[in-house]
Amino acid sequence: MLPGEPPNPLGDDARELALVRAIRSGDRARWGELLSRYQDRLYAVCFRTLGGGNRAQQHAADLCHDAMVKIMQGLDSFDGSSKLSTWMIRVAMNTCLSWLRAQKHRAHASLDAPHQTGEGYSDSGRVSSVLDSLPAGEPSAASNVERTEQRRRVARALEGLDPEQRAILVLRDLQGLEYDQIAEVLGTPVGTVKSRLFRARAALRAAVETLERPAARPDPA
Amino acid sequence: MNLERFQLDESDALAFVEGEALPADRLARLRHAMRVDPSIASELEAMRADREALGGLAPVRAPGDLLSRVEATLERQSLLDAVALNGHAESLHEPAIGTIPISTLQPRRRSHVSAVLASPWSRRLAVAAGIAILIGGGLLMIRTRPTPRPSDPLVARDNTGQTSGPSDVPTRLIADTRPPARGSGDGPATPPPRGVESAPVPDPIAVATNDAPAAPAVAERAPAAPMALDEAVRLARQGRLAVRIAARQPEQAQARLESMRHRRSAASAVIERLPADQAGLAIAALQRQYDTMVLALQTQRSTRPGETTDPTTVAAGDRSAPGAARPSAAPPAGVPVLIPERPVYADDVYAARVQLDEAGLRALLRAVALSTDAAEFIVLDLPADAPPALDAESVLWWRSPAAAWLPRAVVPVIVERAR
Repeated sequence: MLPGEPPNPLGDDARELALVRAIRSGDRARWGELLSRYQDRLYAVCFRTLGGGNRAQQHAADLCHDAMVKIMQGLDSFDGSSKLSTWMIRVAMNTCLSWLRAQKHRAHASLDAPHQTGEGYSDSGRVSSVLDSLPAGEPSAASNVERTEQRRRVARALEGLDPEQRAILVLRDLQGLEYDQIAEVLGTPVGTVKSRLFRARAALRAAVETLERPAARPDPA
Repeated sequence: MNLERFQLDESDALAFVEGEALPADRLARLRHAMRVDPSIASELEAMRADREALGGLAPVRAPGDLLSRVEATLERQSLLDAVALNGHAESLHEPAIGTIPISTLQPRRRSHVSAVLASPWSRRLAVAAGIAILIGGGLLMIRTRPTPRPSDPLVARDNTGQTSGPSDVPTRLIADTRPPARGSGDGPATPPPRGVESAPVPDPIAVATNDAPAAPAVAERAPAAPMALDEAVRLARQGRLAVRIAARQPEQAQARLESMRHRRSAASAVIERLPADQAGLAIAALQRQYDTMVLALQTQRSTRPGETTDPTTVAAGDRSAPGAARPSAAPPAGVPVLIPERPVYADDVYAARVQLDEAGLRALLRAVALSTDAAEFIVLDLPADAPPALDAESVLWWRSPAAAWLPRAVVPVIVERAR
C-alpha cells in the first residue's frame, strides 16, 4: 500500500468474487455495497488522470459517474480473468482517456497554464491542497517545506503530461498496480508498460525541471 | 540519458527507480554508469524522488452525491428500458409484466437510523440515552405525582381553634353557612320558626375567624365547616373564588399589588389590574351576595319576637372585617341580631393568575396582603369571568420547573378600605 493511501478495499479477492456472484445471481441490492466500496478509488483514478485541479474536479465526478454506470451495466461481461478492481479501473481509465482524446484541444489549452488551476492553488476546498497531503509527524519544518514544494511541482508537472503518460503514472504510483495489472488496464503487453512507464517518468522529470527553473517559465503576466 | 553505451536499457533504469532487484551483472553495469556519468545518477535519483512525491499526494474522495447520481441514472435507464420493452412487447402482443427491471434494481441504501447505529459507540450512546430518559421520566413522575398532604394548618387551626400553624397574615377563611339539613348532627338543630319553613333561604356568607371557634352564626344558624383550601381550589376552578383585602391603607395595598404586576412571585402568581368592566362584574357578584344575605337575615329576624329593628344595630358588626358577620354564641332573646355591613367598598380590583392547587392559593393569600391587612377568600355566586393575566413566563411553560406544570386559575383580588 502506498503512503497516504487508504486501506485497499480491493484486497479481499474472495469477497469481491462473492459480491459479484451475488449480484449476478439476482441480488441487485448488493450494487450499493459494491459501488460504495470502490467509489473513492475510481474517483481518484479519474481525478488524477484528468490532471487534478479545478478543471479535473469539475469533470472527474461526471466521468466517474459514467464509469460506474458502465460498470453496473457491464458487470455480466466481467469474466473473472483479472481482479475486479483491475477491471473497474480499466473501465474508469478508458472512460477518462476517451474523454481526454475528445477534448484534446481544450485540454491542451488548459494545460498550457497549469499553474493557474493546479493543485495547491485551488480555493474551492474540494480538492486537497498539497499542503494537506503532508503526513503527520514529519521530521522538521524545513523538510516539510521541501516536501511540500516537491509535491507541488510534481503535481503541476503531472498535469502537463500527455494523458497516456499521466495515466500510466497514476496507475503505478497513485493506484499501486503491478505491471501486469497495468497491462490489463491499458491493454498492452508488460514490456510496453515498462517502456511507457520509464518514458513517462522521464517526461515527468523534464516537466519538473522546467518548473524548477523560474526564469525559463514564461511570465503569465 | 545515454544508457546504450553502458549496455543498459530502460528496463534496467526503471528497475533502479522502482527499487526492484536487478541481476548482479546489470546492477554492476548500472552502478558503473552512474559513477562515470553523474547526470545519469542525478536523473535516476530525481526519478525516485518524483515517484515518492507522487505517492505522497493527498488521497481524494468521491463527492457525496456520486452514488445517488449513479442510482438515479440507472433508475432512469431502467425506466427507459422498460418503456422500450413494453413497446416491443406490445408490438409482439406479449405481456410485458415481469420484464421491467426496475423492481430488481435496488441499490443498497441505508436508513439514517441504521447509519447512526452502525457505529458501536453510537449504539452505546443510544442505550445510555434511553436509560437516561427512563430514569428522568420516572423522577418526573415521582415529583409531579400528587401526594396526600396533611390538612392545611390554617384550616386545622380554624377547625380546632388552636394556633398550630405559623401564619403572619391575619387570614380568614370563608365558611359556607348553608342551613344544615334538618336533623343533622352539626350544631343545634333548631327548627326554623313556623311560617318561615317554606320561605327560600339563600346562602349568605359568614366568616369563621381565627380567634373564635366555629359558632352559630347570626340568626341562629348552625356553623358549617370553614372552607378548606381544597374547597377554594374547587371554587377557583369554577371561577367563583376571589380574594378580598380589607386594608387600612388601600394605597399601600395597591402599591404592593402594583409592584407584583408582571412579576412572578414565589407562589408563581401573576398580578394584573382587572379592566373596569370585569371589576364591575366581580363587585356586582359580591353585592348580590350581600343583598341576599341581608334579605335572609331580615326575613328570619322578622319572625322572631322581641328583636329590634334599630338601624344602629346594623352598624354594630365587626368593623375590622367589613361584610363579615362575626360568629358568636346564639344570642339570647332580646339581643339584637347583627347585620353585616355592606361588603364592597372596593377601591381597586386586580386579577391574580395562580397555579390551581392549595399551595398556590395559600401563597397568593399571604402574598397580596400586608401584615396589617385582612385577606380572605370569598365566594362569588357567579364566575367573575376575569381575563387571564398573560406574561412571558405563563407562555414559556418549559422554563418553569416540572412542579409548576399545573393548571392555573384567575382569582380576582379586591382591595377595599377597612372601616
